[in-house]
Amino acid sequence: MPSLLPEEEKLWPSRLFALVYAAGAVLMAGYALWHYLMGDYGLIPLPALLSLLLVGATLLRLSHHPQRYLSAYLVLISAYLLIAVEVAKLEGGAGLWLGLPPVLAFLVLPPASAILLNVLLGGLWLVLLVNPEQAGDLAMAYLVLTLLGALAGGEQARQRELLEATRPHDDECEALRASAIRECLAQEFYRARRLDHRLSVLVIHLPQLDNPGDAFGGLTRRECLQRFTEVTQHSCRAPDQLGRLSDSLFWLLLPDTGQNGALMVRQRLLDALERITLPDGAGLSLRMALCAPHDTESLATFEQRLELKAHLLMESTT
Amino acid sequence: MDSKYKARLFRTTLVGGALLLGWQASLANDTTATVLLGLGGLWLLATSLLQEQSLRWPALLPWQLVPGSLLAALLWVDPGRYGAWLWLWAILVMLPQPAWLLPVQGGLAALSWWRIQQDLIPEQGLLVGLLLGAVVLLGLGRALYLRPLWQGVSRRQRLLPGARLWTRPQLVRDLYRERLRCERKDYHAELLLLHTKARHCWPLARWLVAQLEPDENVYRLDRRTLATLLISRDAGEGERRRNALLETLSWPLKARAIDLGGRHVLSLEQRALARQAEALVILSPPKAVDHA
Repeated sequence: MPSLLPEEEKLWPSRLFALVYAAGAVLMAGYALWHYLMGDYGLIPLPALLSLLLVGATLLRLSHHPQRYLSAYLVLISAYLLIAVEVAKLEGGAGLWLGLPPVLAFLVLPPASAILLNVLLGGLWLVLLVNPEQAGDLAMAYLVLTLLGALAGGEQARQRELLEATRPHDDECEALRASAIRECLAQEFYRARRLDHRLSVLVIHLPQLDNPGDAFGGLTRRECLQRFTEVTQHSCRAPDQLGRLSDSLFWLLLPDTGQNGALMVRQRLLDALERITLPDGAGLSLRMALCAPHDTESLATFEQRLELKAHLLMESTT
Repeated sequence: MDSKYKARLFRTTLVGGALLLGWQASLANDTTATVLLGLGGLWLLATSLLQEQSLRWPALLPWQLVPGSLLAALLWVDPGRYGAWLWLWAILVMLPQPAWLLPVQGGLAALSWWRIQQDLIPEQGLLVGLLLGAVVLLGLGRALYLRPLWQGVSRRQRLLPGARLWTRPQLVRDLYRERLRCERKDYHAELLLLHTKARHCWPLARWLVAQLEPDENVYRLDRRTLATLLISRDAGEGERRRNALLETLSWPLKARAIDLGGRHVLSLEQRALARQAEALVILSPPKAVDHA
């Protein structure tokens, strides 16, 4: 579950969270001080402890520690303690306070963990805060809050999925993703047939991207990928489209381009890519093959030929 | 498969929420509360039924006001019974919404708090206020985290996964590409803008996708305007195809056909289309292009 948070980490919302935690810490410290001034020394430890917990949560939130999502649990623990010990003593208003724990869980935890926690703790809150005659009503209210909170989480998940499913670009670079470039190929293939124009495809293989993780560091790998897509898109023409088929395999679609034009693009691309130097000082190594549909070829066989070309390119490097 | 399952789970939760609110409505002491809870339940039910629809277009209406005003009204009518619901404001703030709506929601939340604290001793009322402020701030922080997600969705290039139905940013790119391709090669490209009633927009878009050649796309510019790029061998064929398309259409609409040979600004043409009185306006390229 915590994996969701770090990738969305943004400075300013993170500071806002820390600010709210810090305000909570100040509030608790003030409460402890008030008990001290009133002479209720026995009541001081709890707010003092909560204040310390919240200070810890604030610092953890602001740190760059990989486990900083744990600050959410510190906050939850302090708020739960406060509600369970202090608020339970108050006259009336139990119904009001019952709503805070489930909502707070949704605010600081990812939706799935929050639902789990709320379901697990539901009984506890009802026993602690509610007298028996109201229990039925308030149990319902608790259920409603948990369900509505879950709906907000569900809406998020749904939108995230929609974004993922409609984004034509690759996750790591500016090239189109495999499904998108295949679709473009089908469209260009059809248009070339319909209007009697030529279509060429450059199949490009970057052997340095082949083995994710090992000798080639992750950072160099990303750099290599980004420099390649940047330079390629800069040196090809606007109607040309670059797509990434697999980790190390790319297609560059060249619409309305015959063999001569394609060879020119290829040469220009090679010249530009030759000038790339990677952080470790090495150059970019790449292999390219040109492929164009025959006059009577179908899209399926053309794609097969493209795959064969790619296969040959990959074989030749090993 | 996985995402279908999730969508079904979400829909089930929505229906469950609707049923729960309906049940709450039947238990309420007060007629107004019954009506409000019933409306809330109906809204959730409608959301679950229109889920597919809301995927089609990014929502342009501030639907977040519906739960907000229902909640405020409910807390105003019966603060004693629904006190626990006060904290829902933090979750409402978390929903994606235009920036101008946030102060409105904040005002409604403050109003609810004021109503609730009337029944409490002042210290407790103050504490509730402080804590409500804190959780609403946390909700805002959460909303800020999610902002890139909502923005990405509202600016997405493709409207639906798998359909040849795109949005304005994609049209702007494609216009640029097609213009260049037309200049280089001797074929004819035409931007066809279609303006119709909002409720005809979706069936029209689907019909267009089916009618056009597989290499031509449909774009949605706003609630009433669709666009497509007609690519043909020459101007004559382009005109024939456009006329055939417009003749078989069964929806009332206004159209504007713009030859990509000339220079035109998309947003200006779109505005001109909304104001135009004729059913069809054709903008040909300036004659000077022929001599060149």
